[in-house]
Amino acid sequence: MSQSTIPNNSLVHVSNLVKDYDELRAVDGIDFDVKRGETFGLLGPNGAGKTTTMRMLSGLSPATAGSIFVAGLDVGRSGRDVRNVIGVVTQHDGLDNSLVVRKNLEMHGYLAGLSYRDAIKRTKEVLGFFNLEGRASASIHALSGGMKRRLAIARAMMASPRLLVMDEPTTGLDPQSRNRVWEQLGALKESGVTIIMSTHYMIEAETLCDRLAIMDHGNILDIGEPDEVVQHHVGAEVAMLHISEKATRDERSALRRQLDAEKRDYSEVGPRILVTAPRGTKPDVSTLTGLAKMRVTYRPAHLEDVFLVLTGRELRDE
Amino acid sequence: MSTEAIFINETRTELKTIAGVRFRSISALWLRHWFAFIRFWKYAVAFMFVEPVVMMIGVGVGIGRLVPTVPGTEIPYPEFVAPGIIVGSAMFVPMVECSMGAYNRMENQLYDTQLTAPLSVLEVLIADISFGVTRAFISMVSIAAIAVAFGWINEWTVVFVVIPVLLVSVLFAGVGFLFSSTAPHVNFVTLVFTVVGTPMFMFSGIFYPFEVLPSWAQTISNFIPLAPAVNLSRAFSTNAMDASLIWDLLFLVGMIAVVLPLAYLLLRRKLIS
Repeated sequence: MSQSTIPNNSLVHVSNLVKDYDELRAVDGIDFDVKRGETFGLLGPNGAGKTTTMRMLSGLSPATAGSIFVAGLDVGRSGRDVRNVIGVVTQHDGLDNSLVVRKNLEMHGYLAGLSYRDAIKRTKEVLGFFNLEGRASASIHALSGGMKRRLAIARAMMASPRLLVMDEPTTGLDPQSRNRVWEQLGALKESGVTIIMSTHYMIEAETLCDRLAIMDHGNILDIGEPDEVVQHHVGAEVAMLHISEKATRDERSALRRQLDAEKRDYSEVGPRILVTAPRGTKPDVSTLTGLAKMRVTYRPAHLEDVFLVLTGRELRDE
Repeated sequence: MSTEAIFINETRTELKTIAGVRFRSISALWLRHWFAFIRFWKYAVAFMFVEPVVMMIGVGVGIGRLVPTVPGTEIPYPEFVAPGIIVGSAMFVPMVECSMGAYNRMENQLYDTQLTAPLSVLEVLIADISFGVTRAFISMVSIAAIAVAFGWINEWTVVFVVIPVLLVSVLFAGVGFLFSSTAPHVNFVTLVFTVVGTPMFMFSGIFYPFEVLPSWAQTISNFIPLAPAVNLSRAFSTNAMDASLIWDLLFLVGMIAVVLPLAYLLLRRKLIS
């Protein structure tokens, strides 16, 4: 892949990327582009290959095959230069427990190449932006989970990267802390920072991402704007069949057989069956028999449904 | 200041590298270690001074009473043992730093985070070893100061002790990394003290001359990596230098030439996968 084939407005260009670990193929030939200023999401269950992709993007893991260009630089060849323009937030905050909050930032800025004076100055600005000024002299142990995550993002922003790469930025946070992180990521996005993030929270992807790729088993199943992806795979609304506890096992299998026979798109979520109408508006379930033993509700479709349809179907095939 | 001014900065200064090694990576990591070390400065001071004082007085004065001069030599026991303890400490201090210290940094994903900045595994290795050497030098100065104060070191040639201390601290920092970068769990890391540290400390001629050992044990002792360093250190501190010391120097340099590349390969395998 030559550099000249990279689209003009793309900051990140990934083509035919493969990663093998011994017997396991973690990433199986994926392609995507991330435009300047865009927030791009990698969405998928655990083990989908998201973290491996992020590690390859940040130059922490060499690709088995394929290529990644960041800002025109080949990650495989000039990893150091690439890490000059990327800020990375790893999945485990990776904070330095031996240093106080302020020193965590100063040392990372200095390591990244700021002068010592600039590192101190930038630390003040970044602490302010992430509302951590009051904690400048605190021990890392004294911080809450949400503060630690914000500090990890602050650290990645120390050297003003053009691209912020984040592996599951809000995993393990309570809803308040998660909202706080989202607000601040929103502000970074407003200011023009390009962001690539992985997540398995659909709502996070819907809130923050301009475009996203749904990954499973090392492949990208679909890529597009959240609304587009939802419309394409599950339509505008989904029907939920709440099956009564009184329904027998036979009645359930009969329903499944009928859904299969009618070539319906559906997935099972506990005692409920989710029926979707790809590219359509509202699934018509009036033809289904045994409706007496279920309650049918409709709600707007969201990414979660796409996820279940795309990745759930594969599970069923296994 | 607007957010934009804080976060969008297209003009980053490129830092100089020499032979592919970026000096800033090393200075920044060294500084990080220094801040971590002095953050709890009271403990750092205790570590730097109390331990060597206890060791020197305990061994020099205590055992020195029982053994006025070392058999076969005319050297008083404290004078015999002080240069050995200096290199013994130059082995232990960086080895702790690069085995337990490095292992903890691996476990806390600290190296992963550091490597997201533009630095290489080689620079990480050099920086961590440099800090181990720094701490070995601090210990050396504090032990030597005590020995001089007690009149156990009287020769100006003791300044050459920096040579074995430098070699020993680099070598055993590397040995520390052999353990930390291959350890499947923390118990494995502590093996470095049981298998390497303590036997070296006891059998490299720090506390008694090899001549007191049976001949088979003397043969084995010749291959203990710390032994030539003890020999060098003692020769310098007692001003008893001769040409045979060259072999001791070469032995240490040879060991370093084997251990460091191996440590680098193992650390790279551990950190980049």
